[in-house]
Amino acid sequence: MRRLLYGMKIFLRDLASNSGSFLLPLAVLSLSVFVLFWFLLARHSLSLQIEKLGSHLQARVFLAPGASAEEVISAIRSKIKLTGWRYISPKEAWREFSNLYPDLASALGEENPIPPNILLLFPPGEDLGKIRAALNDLRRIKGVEDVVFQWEAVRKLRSLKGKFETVGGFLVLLLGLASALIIGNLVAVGVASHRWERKLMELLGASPGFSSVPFIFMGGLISLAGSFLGLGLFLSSYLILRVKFPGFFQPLPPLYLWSVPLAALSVGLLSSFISTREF
Amino acid sequence: MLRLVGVYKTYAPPYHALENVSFSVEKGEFVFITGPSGAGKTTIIKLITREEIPTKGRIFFGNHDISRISPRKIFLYRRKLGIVFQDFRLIPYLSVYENVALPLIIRGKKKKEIQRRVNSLLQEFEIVHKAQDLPSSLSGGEQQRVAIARAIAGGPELLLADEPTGNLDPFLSKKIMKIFKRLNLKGTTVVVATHDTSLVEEFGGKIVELSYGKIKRVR
Repeated sequence: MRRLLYGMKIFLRDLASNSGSFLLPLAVLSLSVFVLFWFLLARHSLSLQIEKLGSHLQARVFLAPGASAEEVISAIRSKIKLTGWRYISPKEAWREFSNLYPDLASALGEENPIPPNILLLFPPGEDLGKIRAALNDLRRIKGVEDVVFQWEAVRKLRSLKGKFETVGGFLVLLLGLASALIIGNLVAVGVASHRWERKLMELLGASPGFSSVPFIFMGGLISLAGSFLGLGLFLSSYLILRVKFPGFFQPLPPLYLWSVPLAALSVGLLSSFISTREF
Repeated sequence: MLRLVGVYKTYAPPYHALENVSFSVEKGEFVFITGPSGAGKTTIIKLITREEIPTKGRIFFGNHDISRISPRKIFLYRRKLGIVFQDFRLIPYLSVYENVALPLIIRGKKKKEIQRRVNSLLQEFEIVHKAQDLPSSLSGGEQQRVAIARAIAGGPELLLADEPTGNLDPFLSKKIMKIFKRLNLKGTTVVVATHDTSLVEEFGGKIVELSYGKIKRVR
């Protein structure tokens, strides 16, 4: 505890005498945390959207005249994994069509253009490419007239999420590395400017750990301050944008809110630790 | 207690800062290491504190060869030493009290024990009224007394002083030497490196005389 108080004293003294040198690391850190939070929020919102759309992955298999629904469904089930299926009779199909397109239905009169079909339900998160290939195979089954599926939105969102994660991951790695380097550099400068004190403490019997603690503490404190500043900026901008675009941004789970400062603290402590050992 | 056996220290060959230096310090002794500037006094102190390692020869503290102590364990050896520097080396932003308390904090002593020990030392060295002052507001003599209080706060087995009176006038120098003598009478082994022969003659004790890195005389 007394070591930490001593560390605090060094830190506050350095802060008071040379506050300018702390501004750049604080700015880089808070900006990194701000960007990281927005990345996490965007990723989280995208995931929720995909999950919502993905839970309704379905396709329709239209039957040829005279085809047996039982035979077709047993052939389909041997080829694709389903979470469920439902046979839709011509009457039911017509009712659905009339509900969806009342004007077109009245123009057609009594003529029912909708053949009987089977609604297939797929497991959420299933690989779309695999399902698509399997569905194309279904066209060759005897009794199948056509297969219809429209998952462009899901496919595009998934692909966007994949690209987003790659770019975002790279960005987070880059900002994390920049933050670690900048904290490490700040601590190294602190260690250098207190070199004689460290030397003195070592001559007074301080263990290597004791003389390093104040500087590791300094790095930890800077990273925490930077992450809370970044969190504050993020929350302010999030609240403003949520009012302007209601329903667009999903609330960020609390897990993120405390895990990011914790991660920043770990980065700060680790880079300070390495710096004190190196210098 | 302390033995230097055939110690050499070479910074820029072929010149030796120390050449074949051997002497010993017994427990409870008061030893002066004396000689002109550049004779090697500070080098000997640095070798004893393990700031430097001998180029050749061995230094024993008790039965341990201190050159062989691993760098990560050296702090345990240094806790047996008290060191006083010519330039005091007080931490400028810590109060007198905190400076004296530092070795005890380093040793992980409890708050009450630190208070008791530091207050007793400040009283002994007549600087208790300056406890909360910063070193910059003290006179040279007061700063050196704080430095000595800090050096003995941890209860060292061996007190080393490198030119402790180098920055003080003759009156204060005698006052500081009397403090060392008093500490020695209480049982602390003291080694003082100084070029001031008048102090050496006045306060006596074992004298190791150096000249150009070699021992000229031990008396």
